[in-house]
Amino acid sequence: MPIRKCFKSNSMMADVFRRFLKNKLALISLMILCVIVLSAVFANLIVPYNKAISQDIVNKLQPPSMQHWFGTDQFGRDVFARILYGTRISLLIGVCTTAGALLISGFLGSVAGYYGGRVDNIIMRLMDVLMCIPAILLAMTVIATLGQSIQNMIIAIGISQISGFCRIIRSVILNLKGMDFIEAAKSCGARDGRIILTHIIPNAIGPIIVQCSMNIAVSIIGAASLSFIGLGVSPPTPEWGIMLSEAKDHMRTAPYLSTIPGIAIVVTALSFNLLGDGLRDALDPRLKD
Amino acid sequence: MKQEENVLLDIEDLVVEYHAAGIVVQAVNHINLRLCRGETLGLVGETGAGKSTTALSILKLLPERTAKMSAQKLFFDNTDLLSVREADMRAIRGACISMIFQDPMTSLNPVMTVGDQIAEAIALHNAEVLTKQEIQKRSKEMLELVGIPAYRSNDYPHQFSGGMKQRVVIAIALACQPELLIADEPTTALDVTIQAQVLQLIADLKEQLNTSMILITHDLGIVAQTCSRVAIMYAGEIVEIGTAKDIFEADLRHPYTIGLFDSIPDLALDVPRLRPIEGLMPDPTALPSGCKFHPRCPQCMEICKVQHPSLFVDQEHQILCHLMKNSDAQDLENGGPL
Amino acid sequence: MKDMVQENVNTPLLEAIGLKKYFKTGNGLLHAVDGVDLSIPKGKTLGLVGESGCGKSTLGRLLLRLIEATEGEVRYAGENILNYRAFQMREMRKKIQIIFQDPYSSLDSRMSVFQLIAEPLLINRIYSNRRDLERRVNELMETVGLASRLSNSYPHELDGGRRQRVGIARSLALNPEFIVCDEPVSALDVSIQAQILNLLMDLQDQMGLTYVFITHDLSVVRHISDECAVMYLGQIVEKTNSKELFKNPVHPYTQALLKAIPVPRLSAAMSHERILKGELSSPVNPAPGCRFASRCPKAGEACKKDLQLREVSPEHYVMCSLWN
Repeated sequence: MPIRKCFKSNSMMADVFRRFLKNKLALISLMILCVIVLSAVFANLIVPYNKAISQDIVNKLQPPSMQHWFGTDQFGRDVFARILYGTRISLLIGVCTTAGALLISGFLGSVAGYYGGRVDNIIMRLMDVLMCIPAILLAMTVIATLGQSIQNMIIAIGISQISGFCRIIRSVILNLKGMDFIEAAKSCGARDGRIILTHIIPNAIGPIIVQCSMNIAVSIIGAASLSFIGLGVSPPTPEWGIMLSEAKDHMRTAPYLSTIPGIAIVVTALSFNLLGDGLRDALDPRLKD
Repeated sequence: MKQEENVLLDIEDLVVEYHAAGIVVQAVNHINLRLCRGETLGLVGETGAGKSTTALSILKLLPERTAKMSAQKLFFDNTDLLSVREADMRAIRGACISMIFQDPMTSLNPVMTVGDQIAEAIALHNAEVLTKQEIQKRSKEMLELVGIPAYRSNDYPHQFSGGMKQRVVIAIALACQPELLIADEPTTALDVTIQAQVLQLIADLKEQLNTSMILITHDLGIVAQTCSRVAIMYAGEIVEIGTAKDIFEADLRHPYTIGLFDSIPDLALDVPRLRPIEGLMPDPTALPSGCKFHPRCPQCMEICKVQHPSLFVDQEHQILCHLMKNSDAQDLENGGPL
Repeated sequence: MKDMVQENVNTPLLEAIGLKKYFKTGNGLLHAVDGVDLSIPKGKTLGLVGESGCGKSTLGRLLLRLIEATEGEVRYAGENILNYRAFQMREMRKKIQIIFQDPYSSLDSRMSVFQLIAEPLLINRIYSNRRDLERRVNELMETVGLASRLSNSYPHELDGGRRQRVGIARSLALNPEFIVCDEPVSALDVSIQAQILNLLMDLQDQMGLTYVFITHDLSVVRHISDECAVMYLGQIVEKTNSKELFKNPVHPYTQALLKAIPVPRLSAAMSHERILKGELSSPVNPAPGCRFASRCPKAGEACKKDLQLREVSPEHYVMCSLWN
C-alpha cells in the first residue's frame, strides 16, 4: 500500500497517522485550519493593521468589491482586515483557554483518577459546584470583577471549561488505572511518578488531544459570545463577536456585515471539531464501524 | 442413507470473504455442510477458523459493507436462503432459525425486563396472532421452562448472574420454537458447574421441542457430551467431518484433529509434557498454498505444499488430507456433501 | 539487601497464615479471602482452583502484596513481607513476580516488545549500559521462544500466544524465585495453551522456579501442579497433592466440580444427579458456617457451625462437617 511505505514504523502512532490521513473530512479541516492559522500569523504581511481600525467614514457600508474584498463597515473600516486580525484574537483565546484549562484540569483530573478515595471525592465535588454555574454567567462575573481585556476573557472562559475537562481526564485515567499493565509495572517496583509518566500520560494523550480540539472550538464561540454582549474586548479591537454585535443595526442594509464574521466563526469552530472527530476516529478505529 | 425430506440445512460450496482497506480476508473457504432434523452438529475449531462466520452466513447477518458471501446452495427446509428477500429473512430469524451468542453479559438489553425481551421475540413472529396477555403468559412459561421462576419476569438483566442470563438468552432463542438453533460458544464465558447446568438445559429443551442444533465450540469435552456429528474447521475449511464416534475413536483422523486431542491435558493420563501443534493459525489474508495445515503438520509431505487435498470418504466420515489414500474407500475429486 | 533467613530445606519458600481480605461495599463487608493458610515449598507448583468469585485472583495478589491484606501474614523465606517498608518491598519485588491472564491488557500498547521486557530492568537500574541491557533482553526473548526480529514489534501486531510470551519474559527479567501465574493460558487457543504450559514447565525445571498457578480449568491444573487447593467463596475447602485430589476428592464441592468437567471421551455422559444445582451465595456478610451448604447435596445441621481445615489422610486437608 502506497501510504504504508511512507512510514516504516509500525508503532501505534504511525498507525494512527495513517488512519488519519485516509479520513478526507479530517484532512480538509486540517488544511483549512492551516490556512487560518497561517493567515493569522502572517496577517501583517497581508494587510497592515491600521486598515482594520482606521476609520474612513466617507466609504462606510460599502459592499464587497475589488478594493475591499469583504466590504467596509459602518465606520468605513476594511472588513477583510478586521476578519484577518480577528482570527488572531480568536485563535489566541481558543488556544490559551484550552491550554490553561488543560493544565489545571489535567492536574486535578489525574490526581482524582489515580488516587481515588477521598481526594477524588473532594476534587469532584468542587467540580460539581463549578459545573452548576452557567458558563456565561460565570464568565460575566469574572469579567465584571477583573475588567474587560483579552487576558480576562481567557481567564473567564478557561474557568468555565475546567469542570468538564477535569471529568473527562479523570475518566480516561480511571480507565487506564484498571489495566493490567499498570499492575505489572507496580509488581516490578515502579513508583507512582514513573507509572504516571511512562504509562498513563502516553496512553491518555490521545483522548485528551481530541478533547482539546473540541474545546478550542467551544472557546472561540464563547469568546465571540462574550464580545457580542459587550463583555469581551473593547472597540476598536477587531474581533468577530464585536463585529457581529456592531452589525446588528445594519442587518437589513448591509447583511454581509453579519454574515461574514458569522461564517468565519462557523468555519473555524467546525474545522476544529472535525479535526477532533478525525483524531478520535484515527485513535480508535473500532468506533467508526 | 438419509432421505432428502430429513435434511434441514443444506450448504454447498460456501465462500465468505471480508474486504476492507484493500485487504481480503478469506474467512470461509468452500465448505459443504448438511444437517438433518433432530441432529446436533458440533462445529469445532480455534479462533479464526471461521465457525462464527459460517453461523452468521446461515442467518445472513454478515456485515453488509465488508462481507462478500457466495454459495452454490444454501437451503433451509427447502427454502433457498440465497434468493430470499430481507423481509422474509427477518421472518425466518427467530422463528425458524435462532442463534445464541457467547457473551451473556452483552446479549441482553440492559434497559428491558427479561419478560419483555422474551415477549418481544414472540411478538415479532406472532403467527398465531396472540393477544398481549397471551404473549406475556407465553413469556412467563418460557422462563419457567429454562428454570427461572416466573415472578422474576419483571427483573432486569443486571439482577441475574451470568448463568441465569444465559438461560434467559436461551428462552428468547427458543420462544418461537425454531427448527434450528445455532449456539455460538454458549458456555465459554460460564463457570464449569454452571456450564454443566446450561448444557443439560439445552439438551433437555432440544429433546422437548425437537430442535436441531449447530453447536460451535472449541471444547472437545462439550462436543463429546452433546453432539451426534462433528465437523472440525481449520482456516475456513472443514478438514474433517463425521459422527462423534468417528472423530473420537476412529483410527484414521486428520492430523489437526489428532493435534487438538493431544493438546488437551487428559484427566486420566499423566504425560510429562503436552504435545502441542507447532506454529500458529495462518494469516487469513495470506493462506498457505496446497493444504492449509501443511506448515504445522507433523506428517507433511511434498504434495501437501502444492496441491489442495481431495476429500477422503468412509461412509459418514470425511477427511480432507493427502495422507488418507486408501483403495478400499471412495476417493472423490471434489468432496460431495454427506 | 542483607540475607534474610538462612534457607533451610524445611522452610517453605512462601507461606500464608490466616490471610484475609475484606472489601467495604455499600451493602456490607465483602469477604473476598477469608482465612487462608498456604505453604509452598521451593521449586514446586501450587494449583489454586475455583470458579469466579472464589477469591483466587485476590489471593494471588495478596501473596505479592499488590493488594494490602486486611489480616494475616505472608512469609517469604520465613519473613513476614506484609511488615516490610517501601524500600524493602521494592527489593522483595525482584523475587516475586506475576504473569497476567489477559495478554491484551497486560502489555502497554505504546511500548515495543523490547521496551516492555526491558522495563523491569530499567526500573530497578540493573544494567548501567545499553549493551548489557540489550544482551539480557535478547537472552530473555530466546528463553521464552520469541524470535529476535520481534524486538521492535508492538503488542497489537502479535497474537495472544506471543503476547503471553512477552509477559513471561518480562516476569523473568529480574530473576525471580516465585511467580504467581494468574490464569496465564485461559485466554489462549487450545493449541497455544499447550505450548505455553510446556514453556512454563520447562522454565520451572531449568530455573527452579516456584509457582502458584491460578486457574478454573481442572485438567490444566492437574497437569501442571504438584499440590492443589480448591477455593470456594474465599476459603480453601480442600487441599492435597494433585493426583490425590483427582483420585479421591473428598469435599462435596470438589466432587461436583470434577463431575462437571466435560470429558473429551464418548463414554462419559452427563446425568441429572451429577449436576450441581443453585448458584453461588453472596460473599457480602456471609452467614457463619459452611458457605457451600446451600448447594451441598449432603448438607446437614452440623454445617451451620464454623469449620476448619482438617487432615483426613496424610497431607490431605478438607474443610467439611462430614469430616470433623
